[in-house]
Amino acid sequence: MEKRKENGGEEWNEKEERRRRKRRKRRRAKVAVWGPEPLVKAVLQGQEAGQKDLITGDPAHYLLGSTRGHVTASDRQEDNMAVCIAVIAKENYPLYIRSVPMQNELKFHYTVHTSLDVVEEKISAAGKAMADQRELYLGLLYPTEDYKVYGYVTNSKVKFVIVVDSSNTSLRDNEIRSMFRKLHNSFTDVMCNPFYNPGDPVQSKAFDSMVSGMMVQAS
Amino acid sequence: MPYTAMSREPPRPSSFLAMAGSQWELPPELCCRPMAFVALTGLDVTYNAVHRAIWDAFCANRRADRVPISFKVLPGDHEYPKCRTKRTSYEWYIPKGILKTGWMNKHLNLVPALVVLFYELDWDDPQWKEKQSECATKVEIVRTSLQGRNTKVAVVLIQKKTPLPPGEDLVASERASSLCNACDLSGKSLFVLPHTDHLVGYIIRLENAFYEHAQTYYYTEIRRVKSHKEFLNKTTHQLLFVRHQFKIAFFSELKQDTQNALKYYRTAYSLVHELRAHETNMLEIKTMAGFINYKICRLCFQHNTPLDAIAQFRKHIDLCKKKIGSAELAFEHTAWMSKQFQSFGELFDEAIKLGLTAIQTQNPGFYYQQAACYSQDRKLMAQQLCQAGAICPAPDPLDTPTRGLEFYGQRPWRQGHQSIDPPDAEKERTGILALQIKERDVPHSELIIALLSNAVAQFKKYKCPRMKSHLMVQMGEEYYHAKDYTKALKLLDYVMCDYRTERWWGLLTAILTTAVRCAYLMANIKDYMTYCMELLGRASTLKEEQKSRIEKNLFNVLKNEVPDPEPECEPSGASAAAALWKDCMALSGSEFSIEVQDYVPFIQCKARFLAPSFHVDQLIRLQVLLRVDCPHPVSFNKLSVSLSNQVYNQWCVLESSGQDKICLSPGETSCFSFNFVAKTQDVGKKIEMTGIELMLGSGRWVFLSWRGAGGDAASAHEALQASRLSRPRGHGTEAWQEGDWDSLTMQHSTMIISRIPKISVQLSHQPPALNNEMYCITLTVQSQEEGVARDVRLTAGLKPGQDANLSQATHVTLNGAQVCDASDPALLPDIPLGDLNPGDKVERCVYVRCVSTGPRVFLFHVAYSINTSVDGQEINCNCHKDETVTIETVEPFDVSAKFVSTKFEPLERVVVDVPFVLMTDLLSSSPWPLLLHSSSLQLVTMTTCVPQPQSQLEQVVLQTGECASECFCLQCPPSADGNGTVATGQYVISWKRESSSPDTPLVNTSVPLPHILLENVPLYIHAELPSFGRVRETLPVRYHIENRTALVQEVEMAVEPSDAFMFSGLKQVRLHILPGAEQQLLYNYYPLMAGYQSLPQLNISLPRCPATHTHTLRRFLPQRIFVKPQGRQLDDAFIAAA
Repeated sequence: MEKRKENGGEEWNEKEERRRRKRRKRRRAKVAVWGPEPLVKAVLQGQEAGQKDLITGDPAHYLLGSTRGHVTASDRQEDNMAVCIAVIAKENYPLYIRSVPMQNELKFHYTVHTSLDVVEEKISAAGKAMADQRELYLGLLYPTEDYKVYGYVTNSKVKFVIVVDSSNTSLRDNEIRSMFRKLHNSFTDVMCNPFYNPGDPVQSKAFDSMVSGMMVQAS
Repeated sequence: MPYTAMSREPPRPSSFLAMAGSQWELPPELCCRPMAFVALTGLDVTYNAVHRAIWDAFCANRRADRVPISFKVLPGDHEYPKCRTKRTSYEWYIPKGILKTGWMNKHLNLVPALVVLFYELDWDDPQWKEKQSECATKVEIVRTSLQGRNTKVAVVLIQKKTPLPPGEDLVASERASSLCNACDLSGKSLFVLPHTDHLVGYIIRLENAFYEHAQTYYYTEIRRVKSHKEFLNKTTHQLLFVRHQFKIAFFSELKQDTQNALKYYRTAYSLVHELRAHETNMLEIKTMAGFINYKICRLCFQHNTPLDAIAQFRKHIDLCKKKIGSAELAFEHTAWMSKQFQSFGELFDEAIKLGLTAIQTQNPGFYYQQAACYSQDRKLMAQQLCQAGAICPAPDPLDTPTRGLEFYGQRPWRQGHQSIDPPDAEKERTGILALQIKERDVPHSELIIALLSNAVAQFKKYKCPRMKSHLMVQMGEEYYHAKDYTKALKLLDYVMCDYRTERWWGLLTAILTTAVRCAYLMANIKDYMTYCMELLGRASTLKEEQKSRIEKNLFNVLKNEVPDPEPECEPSGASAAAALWKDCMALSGSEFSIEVQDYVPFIQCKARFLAPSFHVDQLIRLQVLLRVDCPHPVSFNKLSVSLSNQVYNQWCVLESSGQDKICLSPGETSCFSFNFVAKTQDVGKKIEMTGIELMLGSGRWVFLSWRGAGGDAASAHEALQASRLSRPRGHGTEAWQEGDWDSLTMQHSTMIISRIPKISVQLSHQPPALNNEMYCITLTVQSQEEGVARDVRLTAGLKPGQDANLSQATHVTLNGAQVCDASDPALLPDIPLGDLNPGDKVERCVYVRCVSTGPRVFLFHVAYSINTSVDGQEINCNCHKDETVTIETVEPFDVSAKFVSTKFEPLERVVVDVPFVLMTDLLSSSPWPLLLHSSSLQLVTMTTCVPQPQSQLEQVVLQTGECASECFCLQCPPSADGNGTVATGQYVISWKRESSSPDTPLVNTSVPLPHILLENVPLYIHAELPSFGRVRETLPVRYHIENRTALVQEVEMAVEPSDAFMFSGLKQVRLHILPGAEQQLLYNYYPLMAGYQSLPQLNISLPRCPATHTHTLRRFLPQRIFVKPQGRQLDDAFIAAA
């Protein structure tokens, strides 16, 4: 049941994403937006305005609505198939790195570290033009023969990096986006923990288990 | 491949790449740009100067705008490659391979598209007939040699004369046609080259014509190859489909038709992948696919469609990635893959040099990197597959009779074999073995390093510092594998700092582990220890047992013993290293110091002065805090702190006595305190820690040194994190005692400040100061010292650093007896006050004169010296105490003056020689009562009517807001010239504060009086009358009329009747007044009414002087008079009686 819920969330996020894009277009025409979207927007882009993330909890919990029932678990079998997930601090040191066991862990560290070159470049390129409207999701950072590396930067310049096996063609952009969003929400929870000192390595069990859910299960 | 740390740029041994990868290198004829091949014959370039000039014009300085032709000079009887008889049917033909190795070269360099015969012959040559037939023979020889080919032949006549325009030279046209007939040439193939001044121009025209012929030739070749297609069938001739498409494409390239060439290459590429692939022909297919892919990518870049090139390359890689071929030769596949990436990278790089813009995520570096990656795989596979010790079979199956292959990508031992199974299993086995043996000798590491360094250069260019670091780590590791430990260390050491500053500890640990192995194998003691120390430190992610092992090794080295070999070192290297270590140990006694600040060493050090400043009579206290992160306790021999003033260093040394070493326990903070007394001459100076040294070792001594007050590469960030966590708690001096090492801050410098003075300085004065007065400030200094305060000195006055004008307007003196002047300074320095015994008091008055208003800051600085003892040490300190006071200066009073007539009417102008009155008002604005001593007038032109009048204000005391007024009767002497403004003079007031002592000097304040306007009147009239009248009593009035002109004045005068008076006297009169003379008129008025009564009005007119009329004269006369009522006689008598 838990799995279903999550998948439902994914589906919902995907739909929401599409709607969001449309709305973004509409917003340019200064049309008022109605519905749960502004709240989502607040969670996704407005958070971390200060030192800490202020929004608690997963917005999906109270925004899911009725769409949850429409998705079946079988639709999403290939979901959550990252081989490495990393959270990088503003100063570019790792806060959390988790890679698939059995494989060369060091190699993933190097992959994540080198991807920061592209992240930095993308941030600085976007930073000049429009710091406020910058999209958090950076997309595919760079392709290697074996892996695809995706990046995401929060407003407080904490970076998320997801490495996916390049043979895994089932993951489309939308799935990656929603993975990042889950990651961001979970990280927000970590930041809200009053016992967590921002800048320290992330050791939250909840975060760890959420990441585990997104990783390729070692067989 | 020398790697210099100076350039910071890894070497790029590209020539080496070409040499070592020869088997996989793309043939040069594939990589060049195909150009039409034209052979020139009949030119003797060695001995004939004219021919030489012609040849030079063809080949020298060919710029890009010339047509793309490759020329070659061949002898007239050159043998061109024989043309095999053309096949008429492919029915029974089974192709042996895809593309012959010689084919491209043949069409680039051997078979010309056009043969040009140069022949010296003028139209009017006397031996025309003979020469014509000789020429025809030469043409025939060339034709015979080219039997069966479509190669064109052209003749160029080298002539000495400039030809006439076409059609004019009849002989020429006739002989030309006869020559064409004789040589069997078309008119288009006969050219004339006059050997004149414009040689290059003629040559360019010639080569354009040649180019057209060549185009036609390649066009027919394309047609010829295309025509084969109809004879082919898909079952047996699959190889030919590829071959023909490749040939058409290649001919199109020769024809410079790159668009079509690209099209045909693409077809060829798809055809090559349709071939039935099996183990025996896999290499041939891949080789050809690689060739065609190379051509396609090259053309795409040439057509400025780099995305097509990249897409094609990706497709190529995806298609070929899995085509490994024989498992025993798997290294061949990786070598080939590496070459694919490398050559694409080179194409990409070349395109960039020609103007293409690459981006961070799509640049040649990625391809070089991938090439290196495949080379690494190749090395691994080669290590797995190629067993050492196998001997090369004889005869060598790789030797071929022709020293080469007939077809690209085939096996030397079974050339031309196209069926699925190898013909001879034994031959196959030995062949594979021979290849494996050959692979064993390939210098893989050097190949990998070369590729990596290419990639590094690219990533550096495209702002990928981290990628660059990563590749340099790989290079370092490869050098390590290649046993070039020096270079490995250089590279690793260089990148380590990047990972350290970015705090990627996992990666840093991995690099350090490799580095420590290198250092071990080289027996480089210093590096070995440095890396060990960092691996033991808190940044290391090693497991505890590994740390224990490293710590044991480190202590062994410190005991001057050989450390255990690092795990994963190969045994032979380890034993060689052990010998090196023994040698090192023999040369013991060497001490060295390791600068650990930029690392994360296993001993952390933080030092601090306990306060940011110390008084000179206090002990200066500093602490050095040490903490070890390794698993076992560490002991040290000596700890020393160096300070900016080296005199103090002797107090900051801690040395272990004898065998008892000072021990540091893991995870605990050890604190070492040092105290010393500052030198008095250092007062006002800063003392800084310049370094901390810790001596370790028992057989070999190592100094760990920190600059400044310690800390290391990671401590700044840790302190920041700790500060975020903890609430600020004061200065945190005792914070470490709570066990929080991270939040402990370093204090690397302290200030030595002077001793706190124990004297009191009090000021008493009565503000505000009045402008110009001698303002008295009384200063009382009282000593609270326990000893004698010697040589007390006072500096008093205006505090420096204020408005510059203030120092001009302020004067300070100690002498209160006389008013000071501009010669006195604004600040009195170093007034000696003598010595002060304990409890004694000294008092001084300082007088300040401020000549402008506004606030001022005054400084009173009392300095003295005293002997005191610190920690049993007698020192002589200088102390000082400063008092400042802000004093406002105000004006003591305001003075105003006005002029009035004798009737007290305000005057606008003053009439010359007529008395008037000056009135002054002095309004006190001082908060303190003022004593006015006297006042006087200093007149310029005026004279007083009263000689030397006495001041009316003498000894008057004015309270705040009170006003003192004075009148002076003045007159302006007639000498002053007529009308105009005249200065009056000054009003001088002498005053002082009422409260001041009698001997206080007076202050003289002069106030300038306003200027007045003068006026001359021709006639002056004034009346003489009593001060009052009485009803019905005679009131005698005498009018004086003075003529003040130099003329006789005629005056008409009349008295108007009045209700209040009866009068007797002349009612109307006309009189003459001589110059300067005066007339008097006497009237007796008889008042009728009491009270203020207007006098009868006098009407005066001067017929000679119409400007002066009654009205102007009337102002001199009294207007009214007070008339008293008539007293009763009785009352008068009564009064008289009384």
